This record gives sequence, C-alpha cells and structure tokens, in this order.
Amino acid sequence: MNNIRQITERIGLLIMILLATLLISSCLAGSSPAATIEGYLLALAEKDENSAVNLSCVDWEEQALAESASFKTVEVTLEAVECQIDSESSDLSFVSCNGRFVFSYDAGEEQELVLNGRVFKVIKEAGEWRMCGYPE
Amino acid sequence: MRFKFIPLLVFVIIGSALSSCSSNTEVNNPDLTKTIPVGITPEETEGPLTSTETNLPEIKTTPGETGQENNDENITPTFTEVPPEPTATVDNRLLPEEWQSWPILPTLSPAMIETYQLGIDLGNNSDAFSKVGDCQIIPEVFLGLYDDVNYTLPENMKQFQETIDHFSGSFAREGMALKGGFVFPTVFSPLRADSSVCDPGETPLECELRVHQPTFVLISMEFRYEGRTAEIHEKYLRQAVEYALSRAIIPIVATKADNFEGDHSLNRMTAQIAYDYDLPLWNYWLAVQFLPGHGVDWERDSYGFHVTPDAWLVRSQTFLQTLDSLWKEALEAVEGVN
Repeated sequence: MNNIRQITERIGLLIMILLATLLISSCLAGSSPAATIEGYLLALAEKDENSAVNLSCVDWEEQALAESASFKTVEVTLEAVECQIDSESSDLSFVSCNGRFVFSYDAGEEQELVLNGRVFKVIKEAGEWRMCGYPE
Repeated sequence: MRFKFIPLLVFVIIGSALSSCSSNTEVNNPDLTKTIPVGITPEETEGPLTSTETNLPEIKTTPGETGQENNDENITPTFTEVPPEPTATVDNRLLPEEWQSWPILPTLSPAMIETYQLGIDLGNNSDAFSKVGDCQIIPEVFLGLYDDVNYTLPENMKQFQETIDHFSGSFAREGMALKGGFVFPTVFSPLRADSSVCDPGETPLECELRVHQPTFVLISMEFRYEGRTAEIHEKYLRQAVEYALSRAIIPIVATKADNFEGDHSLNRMTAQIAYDYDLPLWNYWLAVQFLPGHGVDWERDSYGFHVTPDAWLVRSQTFLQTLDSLWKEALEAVEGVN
C-alpha cells in the first residue's frame, strides 16, 4: 500500500511541476505576438529600456536600446493602443497596431506618432515571441 | 516521510509561477486604453529670429587641399624651370586635439569633391541640403529666415544672396530627421520616422536623405540625454556620416557652443571624425567665442545648454557662409566655374 501511495505522490508531483513550468513559460515575455508588441510599446513609453530589450529578439536588442533612448528626452503618453496579428506562422508573425504616442515637448508643443499602418515583425526565439524589427 | 514536504513545495512552485505570471501580465497585456503620463525632460525653444544684424567676427579662411590646414605651415608656391620631382603628400592638417584652432569655415578636401561629383552623377540635387538635428537647429532658430521672402540680408552679407537663392527651400525645411526633442538614437529609429512619407522600416535619417536627396547634409546633434557619452555619440555620428557618404552626400559636422560634458570631449570627438573622413567641420564653437558667455545663455539654464539669441544669429550666418564656401568650391572644382 505504501509503495502505491508513494508512486501516486511522485506522479502527482511531476504533473504539478510540469504544469507550473508550462504556466511560467507561457507567462514570460511574449505570450502572443500582439501582446509582445503592446508590451514593447508600453516599455518605450515608460522609458523602461530593460523591458524593451527583454521583449526583443537578440538581433533587435541594440536597436531596442536606441529606440528606448529616443523616448527619453520627451514626455510621452501612449493612447488607445491595440495590436493584432496580420499574419502568423510557427515562428514568424507580423503585427499591426492602432493607437498613438503623443510627445509633449517644450512644455506645450505636442508631436504625434500614429501607430496605424505600422507593421512590426515578431519572431519566436527560445520559445517566446520577441519584437524583431520592422518589415522592409 | 521524505515526501511530506512535497505538497508544500508544489504550492510554492505554483505560487511563484502565478506571481510571476501576474507581474508579467502587466507588461504583456497592459491596459493600453488609458493615457500614461511618464517622466519628462522637456526641452525649450524660443521664438523665431527677428534680428537682422549682429557684429560677426571677421572670418578668415585659407582654403587648401584639405579641409583644415595648419596656416602656419602654408607654403607660397614658386615656379622653377625644372619640373618638380614627385613627393609624398604632406598631411599638414590641424590635429583633432587642436580643434579649437580649426577655422570656423571649412574647405572641401579632394575626397569630398569626388563625393560631390559622384553625388551629382547619381542624381543628388545640387540645390538641396538637409539637416539632421535637434531643437538647436530647427528652422525657427536656424536658417529659416533665409527662406522668408520678406527677409533682407544685412549689407555686409549681400554676397550670400546667390547661395540663398540657389538652396531656396532647404533653409526653412524641417525634413524627416530634424525635430525638437530628437537625439541621435531617434534618427536611427524606424518607429520615429514619419510613416506618411517614409518607407516601412526606414529610419528618419534614411528617409530624409532619400526624399530630399541633397548634396550636403548638416549633422548636428547637441541635445543631451541619459546615457549619452562621447563613445556613444561617436558611434552614432560615425554611423550617420558613413550612411551619408554611402549615398555620395557630403556630411558637414559641427562643434557645439556648450560644454555640458565638462571636458569638450564631444567637440574633440567630432573633430576626430572630421579628420578621419576628411570632412568639412564647421567650427561653431569658435564662431561664438567672441560673444558674452561664449554664446551660452547661462540665465536660461544652469547647465549651459542653450545659446543666446545672438549666438543663434551667428549660427545661421556662419552656416550660410559655410554652405556658400563649400558649394562654390565644389562648383569650381567640378565645373570650373569661377
């Protein structure tokens, strides 16, 4: 009886660890291509270069730093952003978004960056969706 | 017995997984429908230039084979009956560390004259120049007045009207790579390009040079930002210079009036790049040394970034002189026009 109980406990443990691992990996950056880009844009608006880099593929990390730095000199608001997948394969996706950035400069001069029509390239890297630039 | 702790362990694992998920969800699935005010480092600009006169320093240049020559070593040519034997070209340019002595107005090196000719052959617009920069060179404070039909040059600058007419339309043009609040990384960010004009994936710099297709491009990024070091600035400036040269466009680089970094390392580095590529360097720093406070408006900000209205005018006037000089030199070399 004890042996059966121990085996049952071990199987239960393995299942729970497996579930927890799946949960963690699915919740890390890039749960979906659209969510990755929304997170990336938010990171830029919040001047959070670490998150911007973490949400980027390896090839885009340096560009993510530059893009993040370009937001540091202006006050930024991100308005009504919503992204959707235009096309998707197993490890490559193209995402477009609605919404806009509003840059407030010189305590009043506003500049607008409309996101409509912009397409973002997202790739799956190490099992996670990562921002990887713009299609040319 | 050894498995008594297992349920506890499992709960800990699941708990941390859920908490990780919860915090990460904020990044991946944010509520993006609301407005998010974030930190500000606002930059200020002033109204347009209205003054038409300023007492400019007398600018003397000694055009030579290279952009910046050591005038002390100029040799007066003499004529002899015996053909001279070929000798190695002596590089008598001032060194980058001597940038404070470089002339305000640069000249074109042979390499840049070749670039000019190549650019014309490739279809670059001989009557266009572009600007890549920040609030210090937006048209309201820099050059814009020259495209105003109601503007009249001061008497002592009438000779530059021809250059104004020739490059008409470029002075007040903001373009794709110039805006208040821009820093060097901005012009390399496709996200910041104007999507109504620029191609997908194109950076503001690429877009500007494609759309305007100039023969000259002024590259002057002065606005400080967190993380800017001389090394990072150098990386971006070299990248911009190389991109312009790849399109056979002559980059004009400039020193700045301020010394925000404390050791003039950015001006020193800009001179190094001008030296390395044999580029024209417009020594704006030298041009404003005669002004009170060396052109820096210390009353406006304590870190000495902004320049005074007189320094704005010196900036416009000495750049106009620079453009005039470079353009005419290129014309003389390429077309033999006197």
